[in-house]
Amino acid sequence: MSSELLPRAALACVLASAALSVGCKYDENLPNADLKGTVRIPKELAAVALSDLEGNQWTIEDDARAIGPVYIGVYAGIDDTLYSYPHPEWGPVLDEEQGGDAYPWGGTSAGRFAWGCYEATVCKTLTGRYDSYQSVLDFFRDQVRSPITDDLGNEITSAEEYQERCFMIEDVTSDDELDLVGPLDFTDGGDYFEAEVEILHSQFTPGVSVWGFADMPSAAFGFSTCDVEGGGYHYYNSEDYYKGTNYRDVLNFPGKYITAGDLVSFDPIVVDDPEQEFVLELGYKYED
Amino acid sequence: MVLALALAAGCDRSGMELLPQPNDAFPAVLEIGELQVISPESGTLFTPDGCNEQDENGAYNCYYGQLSPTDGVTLGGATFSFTGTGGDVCVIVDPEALFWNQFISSSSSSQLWGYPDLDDDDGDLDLFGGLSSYYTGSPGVELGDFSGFYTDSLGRQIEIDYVECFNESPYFEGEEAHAGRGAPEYCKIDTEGREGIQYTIVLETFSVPRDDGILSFGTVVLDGACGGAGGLSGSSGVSECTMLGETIDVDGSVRDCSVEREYAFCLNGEDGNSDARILSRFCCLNPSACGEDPPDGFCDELELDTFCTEYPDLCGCEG
Repeated sequence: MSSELLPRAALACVLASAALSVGCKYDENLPNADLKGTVRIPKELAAVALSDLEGNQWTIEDDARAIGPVYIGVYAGIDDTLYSYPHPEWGPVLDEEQGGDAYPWGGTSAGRFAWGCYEATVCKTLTGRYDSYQSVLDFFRDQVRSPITDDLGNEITSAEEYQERCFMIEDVTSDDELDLVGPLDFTDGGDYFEAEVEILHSQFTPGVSVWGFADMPSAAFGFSTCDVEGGGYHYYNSEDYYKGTNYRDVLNFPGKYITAGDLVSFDPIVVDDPEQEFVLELGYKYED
Repeated sequence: MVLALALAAGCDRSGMELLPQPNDAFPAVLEIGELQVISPESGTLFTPDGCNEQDENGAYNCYYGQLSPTDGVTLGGATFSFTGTGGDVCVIVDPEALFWNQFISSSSSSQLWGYPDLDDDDGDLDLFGGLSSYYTGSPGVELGDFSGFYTDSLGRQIEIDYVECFNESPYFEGEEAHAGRGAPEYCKIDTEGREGIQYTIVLETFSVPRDDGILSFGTVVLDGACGGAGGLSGSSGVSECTMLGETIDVDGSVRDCSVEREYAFCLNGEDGNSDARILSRFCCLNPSACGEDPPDGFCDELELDTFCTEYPDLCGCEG
């Protein structure tokens, strides 16, 4: 083999690689974008009024753990005439009871329902609200005034016991493998709770509107967007029930799920530049 | 080289010879016309003798028909329409013929379903439908669907599926469940607020029997929910015996022993009949109706002499 051939071959390889690598920059011109922004909830609106069967009433204040899932959607437009609050515009109404489909272009949520390892937590615990098992126990004991109990009705008092139960029942060995405990969605922004959100791979064209609402808990700490007969199924000895999960069409038919106490974005956010971060304030509290 | 040539010879086969070919004597795309919405009280058992009769407006009370396969590229099937009543309506289709899983265990219960099913006489139709105004097909010419388009305020086009009749199966729970070849399928349509409005039903050909290359079927529209369609096999629900006699020969006559075989199939599975081995005994007595391939010695173990005394309705056919 000639000693000059090898450098030429290597040079050819380099040139070929360089030519091929041009393809890595090919812009497919897909009408998609990753939208980033912040959701802000005024603390004064995030207060939650609860009551029990004995008629006792109390309020949870200044506690982001009481905020239900926040749904954020990208829509063609917002219509002020459909409800008492601005709501994404509808497509054809095929079912009078649920109204028209809003056909979202994209969407995400800050928090979603995550089973808390006991039946008592079905449709009551979310991701992004608790940084420790103790935080879950404290919140339900002190704020909701309904301590977490095991499936025999015994109160769980120890974070270690709670963690051990979750590890055993979910067949995991670390908190990272569970949805319940982890990084928090909301930070304290003074008068607001704030959460950074990303709407990945949304369809996009200049002029789309970002809209959202927070499903706040009812007086019995229930959530209208949670399906108690959905999600995974838990079957262990005498324990036999669904774990609960979000309904699938919340962003398609948000008006169907917005109930008294929920927080809705009132001022329209129109996005013309997908690189520009939005700030979505849920500044309207819906009352029946 | 020789090996390559030998292998290349395989390239002249498309596999189409294994499929039934189009038959010009029958339509591949059939427009039936309009069907009446009939009350289950007027009879939950349907046969070719009582169907295909038209009222003064030309609407059939129920319909038995036959379809040719297509060329393998275009969709084939049948369409018909009915008028909304303002309440629930049940649409039923029963393609020929019937199917069961042969039970191959050595236990005595194997005799219940131990006779092999005849695959070659089974076809399959898929059922869907919706408001006629949304139907995109050309009746009798080309099958369509019920898709429409909505354009939002930013100009994005969204396809909407306006289907209101989703295939259901008597054997599996849930919407959009297919019953498999030879088995009846049905759907319920809620026509509330649409009394007098026309609906279109599509029976899309999925497979055609290999024995004669013609897919025959029966179809009917009942007033009310599908639980009222009892047929012979019980008081509720669609079954193989809601519509009998859908196995129709090329000459238009109901195939010999096919009605009796369906009847035996339905009786075979009823509570209290598990020891009677009705289907197996019927098939042993009428092997040409069921297929002449029972396991060795299978029929020798069955009580055949008293069958016609016990089940006179299942005897007398020439199978």
